[in-house]
Amino acid sequence: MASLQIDDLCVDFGGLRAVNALGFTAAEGTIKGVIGPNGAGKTTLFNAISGFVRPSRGSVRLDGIDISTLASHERASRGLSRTFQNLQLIPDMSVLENVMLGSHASLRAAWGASLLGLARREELAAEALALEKLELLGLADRSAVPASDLGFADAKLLEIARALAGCPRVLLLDEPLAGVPLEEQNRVVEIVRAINRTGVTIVLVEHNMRVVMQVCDEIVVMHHGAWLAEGSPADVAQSPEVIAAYLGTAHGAAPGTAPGTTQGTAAGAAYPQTDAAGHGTRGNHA
Amino acid sequence: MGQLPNLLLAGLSTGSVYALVALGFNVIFKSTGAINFAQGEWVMMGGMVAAAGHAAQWPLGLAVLLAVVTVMVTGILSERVILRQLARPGPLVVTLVMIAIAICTKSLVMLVLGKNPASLPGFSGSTPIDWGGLRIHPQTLWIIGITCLVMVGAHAFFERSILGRAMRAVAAQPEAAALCGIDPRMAMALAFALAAATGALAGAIITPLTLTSFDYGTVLGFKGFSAAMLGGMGSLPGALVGGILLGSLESLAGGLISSHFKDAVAFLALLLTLFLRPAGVLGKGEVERV
Repeated sequence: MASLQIDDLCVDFGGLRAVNALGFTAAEGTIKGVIGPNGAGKTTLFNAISGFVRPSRGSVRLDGIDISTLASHERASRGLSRTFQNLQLIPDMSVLENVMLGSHASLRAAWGASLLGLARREELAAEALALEKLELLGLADRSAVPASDLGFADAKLLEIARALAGCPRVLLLDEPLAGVPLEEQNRVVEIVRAINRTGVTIVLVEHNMRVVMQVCDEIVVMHHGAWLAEGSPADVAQSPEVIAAYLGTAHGAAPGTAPGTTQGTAAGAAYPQTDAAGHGTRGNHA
Repeated sequence: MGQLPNLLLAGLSTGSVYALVALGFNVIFKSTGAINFAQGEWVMMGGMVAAAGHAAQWPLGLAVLLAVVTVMVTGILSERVILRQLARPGPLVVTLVMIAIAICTKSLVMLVLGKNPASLPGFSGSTPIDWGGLRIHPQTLWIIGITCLVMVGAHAFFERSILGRAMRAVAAQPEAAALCGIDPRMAMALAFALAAATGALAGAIITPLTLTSFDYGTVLGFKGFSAAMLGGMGSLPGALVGGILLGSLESLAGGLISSHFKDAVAFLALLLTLFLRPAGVLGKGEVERV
């Protein structure tokens, strides 16, 4: 188990400040939601946490240790992993091979040893681990299929399986539900919960407000790259600043006080693709 | 009319060497997106070092091993000492730096091993085998056999081994690969080591047939590059197909038209590929590199 702590984080692209003095903590073993209107800087935040962009200021701490100067692969071997909003699978490798790639973060053998075939036992262990993760995500029966043959929902689950194969302690999920058909969304939600129950701290970016409200222990709201609000789902949903950010100030006093539904509607208005999900009644028996 | 089979056989043997050189181009192209113009120099260096080892009374097998290891170390050092200093090793920058490394490698070999052509004896002597009118130099069989082994080995490495798949992942999805814990620089170093080793082996096995000298690398590199383009840059089967095709065309042109025409074939093949089918014979429509 581990915590993720962001302090005073700034990311600049030329003159544009995409993330502005952002700070929050994802406590050990919790699910932290990161929400905000489109362009709020959520994916840039993920890129900074995982080491793809260099922050111009601030720090990212994993279990109190500053990892902001480490390369991505070093962060991965310290227990940080993530999935991508647009899938980054290797299409011409099988499902199992894709998941086995993830285990590099936990492989101990040196490259030289692997090259000489001395790490055979470890490779077998990686294969067993990968199968176990596929089992967890319900993809075990498709392990030999090329990744390009999977449907979109399964492909998203495959990315999660690959991330899990590195035995992460903190897992960043970038819109795990985007593009997943309504009837399969609950499967993904249940899996996110199951992963969390195994002790993995999760940071979740997701536009589907129903799910965010349902699944997160705490939520941080970003607006124009900066911290806007933070707290329990109920608190955040009732925050006037948050409602204003989503609907514009003219609608600051939007009617309705029931937390989940207000936010669900607000998100539905801001993000057409979640509209169906926000109003959907089926599939939500959790 | 025993000429055609003999020409084809000769084409198969030089084509095999081109295929090995093309394989080296492909491995580095896959992992960096760059064209490694030092590949030909590594081939030349492989031949020169093996010849030097042999001249120093080393057993032939050991001399070849010495060549492979020396060139492999040169490849790794090129990556570690020079490319690693680049802040952002983009394809164009790596390509340009490799041209510089190629020139340095060539000069270094000339300074250390001299300007004279060097030779190696055939691995199983040089008495031609007469096989139904087909006169086969035993080295030809060595070349074809070793090329087959290397190709099968490379295929198994990239398909089956966890390390080979990691290298493919770095080529296809660099960010995802990094978050899988794969060090992209390590993948790059490994690509250079493999490409250099393949090149050195190619140089060592062709030397008994052609001799070698410090200035052989450029032409061989160009031939290998043409073969890689012809087969499809980045494709392993493409390297084999492109190499054999180019070797055969060259041999036929040399035998049937004029031996002066031989070297022009590679240029023509390269130009025609670029005009008609830029992705190569086995390419997938577009060059795959993210």
